[in-house]
Amino acid sequence: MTHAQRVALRISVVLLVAAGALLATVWHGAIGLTPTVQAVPNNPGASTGAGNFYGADTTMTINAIKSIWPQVGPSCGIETAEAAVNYNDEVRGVGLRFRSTTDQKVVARNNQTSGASQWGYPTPINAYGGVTNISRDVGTDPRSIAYMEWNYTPSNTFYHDYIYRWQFANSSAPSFYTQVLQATTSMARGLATWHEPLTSQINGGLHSVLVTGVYSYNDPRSAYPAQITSVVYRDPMAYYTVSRFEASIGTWAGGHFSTPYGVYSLWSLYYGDRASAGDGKNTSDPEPAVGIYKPTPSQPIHWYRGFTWIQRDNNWANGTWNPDWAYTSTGAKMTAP
Amino acid sequence: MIGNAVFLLLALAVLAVLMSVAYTTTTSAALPLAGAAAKQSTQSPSTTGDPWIPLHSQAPGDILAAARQSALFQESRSGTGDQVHDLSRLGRPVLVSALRPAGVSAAEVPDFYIVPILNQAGATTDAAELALNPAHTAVQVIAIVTYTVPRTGGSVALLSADQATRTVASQYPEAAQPIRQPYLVYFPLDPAWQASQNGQNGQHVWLAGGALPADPVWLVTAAKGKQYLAGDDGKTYDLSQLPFWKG
Repeated sequence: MTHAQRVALRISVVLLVAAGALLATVWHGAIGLTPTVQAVPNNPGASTGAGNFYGADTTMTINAIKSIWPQVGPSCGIETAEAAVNYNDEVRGVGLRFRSTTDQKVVARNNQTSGASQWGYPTPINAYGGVTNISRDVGTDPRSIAYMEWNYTPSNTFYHDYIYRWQFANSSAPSFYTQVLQATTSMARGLATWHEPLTSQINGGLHSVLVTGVYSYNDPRSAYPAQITSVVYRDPMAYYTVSRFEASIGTWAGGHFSTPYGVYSLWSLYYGDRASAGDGKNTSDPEPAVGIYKPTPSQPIHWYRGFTWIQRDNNWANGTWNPDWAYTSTGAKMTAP
Repeated sequence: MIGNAVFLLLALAVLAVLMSVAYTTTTSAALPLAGAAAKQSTQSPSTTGDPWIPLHSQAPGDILAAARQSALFQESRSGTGDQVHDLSRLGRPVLVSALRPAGVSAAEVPDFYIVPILNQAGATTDAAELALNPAHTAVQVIAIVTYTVPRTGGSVALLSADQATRTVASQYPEAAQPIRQPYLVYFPLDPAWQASQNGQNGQHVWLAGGALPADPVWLVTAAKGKQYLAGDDGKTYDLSQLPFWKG
């Protein structure tokens, strides 16, 4: 082999290794973001001129909620968790775990004595979240909901709280509307991947609804932010006149949405807000008061100034099954507020 | 022979690097990695969500034509997803006026056209909510809502205008001869009021309807201009009794 051939061979090896490393980097990132179950939109062959639905099934959704809703008192978190559990039971072909409106009282009672986080719980506890809260929420906080969904579904079914803050995906703050679009895209990835409804906190954290789908012009698993046109949700307050809401993306991000239960702000407020985005004046849904997510002077926010939802995932290795853990919207396990 | 193979390998390696770079660039734009700045899509249909769609006139055909231009009416509704599956049968749009408390603007609580979405039997299974701009010259399709129970005859209000007038007149006889035609209204319901009531007794307490445009109620104007709301619960409400959201 001549000198030139040897040089060419070495360069070839270096280039092939570089190409492999590039692909491995991308695939690693994708795997970190995307659970293993792949799904297709209802109408994958549709033209890009029509938004496609990504999410859960109508009949299964109705079956999951029809016997257990509406909520009584501030039990929206419990009721949406029960609905997610029932839906998963249907997916697995087992009997529904929850079958009565009184089950919300049973779950609330169970929450008084079991299900505390590894970091404990703040006192005093309330009659709904009990020891499952890590904050002094008046109802159930996102950790409590993640715990309930994990606890009441069959083994090896994992749920975690996901949090979007613009810092997770941007070097500078995009417009509020773009933040909502990015967060909704991340949430939609859970819907498109699992085809199961998820629990989303709305109205500044005051309320939880069951998000069952989104419409998007492009696939939210590969587009960021996706061209989402609407969000479909079911309200545990419901069973009065209206059962399903398909809110346009402008309504989802802009609020002022009149419902049978009052004017909803939806995601026009961050978690923890009361009247305007970023005001942080919602005293009913405070930040964690125990554990590693309790805000510190250097890291003063956890749920606040962001959006949050609880979804199924595949995060179970190395102890990550624990519903105590929160994840960023980009799929990273959070080890600090 | 070996020499040619080495140079062919080099060519393939260069090609592999180029293809990897192209793939990485494409994928990075789609998948934001933690801590990295995400590239923004430039294809969003609107920078704030829902575009305003001009109304050529207030005629039903023009209102329906405007609705059909919206994103919500152009979605693919096949499959078994949790969605309204058929928007092909639309009823006659109805105007629903907003009752606004002082200090709340028409931008926050707009008037609406409600488009009934019908099943094969002609019952209203769903409704599209078209928010009107203050001048009533353009609409935004802000939502499609599904009724728990379909409403008969393509209606969106549970009561007819005559039924509403009789309901009010049973309590206020002067309303038996309204001085103007009853019209459909909604009002912004205070969620804090509803939640506080729910927390106390565990039941939804506002059962009279009118809290959303797709569930409007009739406003009856009696002698001397006094106005009453005919609730779906069979009760009559003075406007001062409504638990308004104050913004």
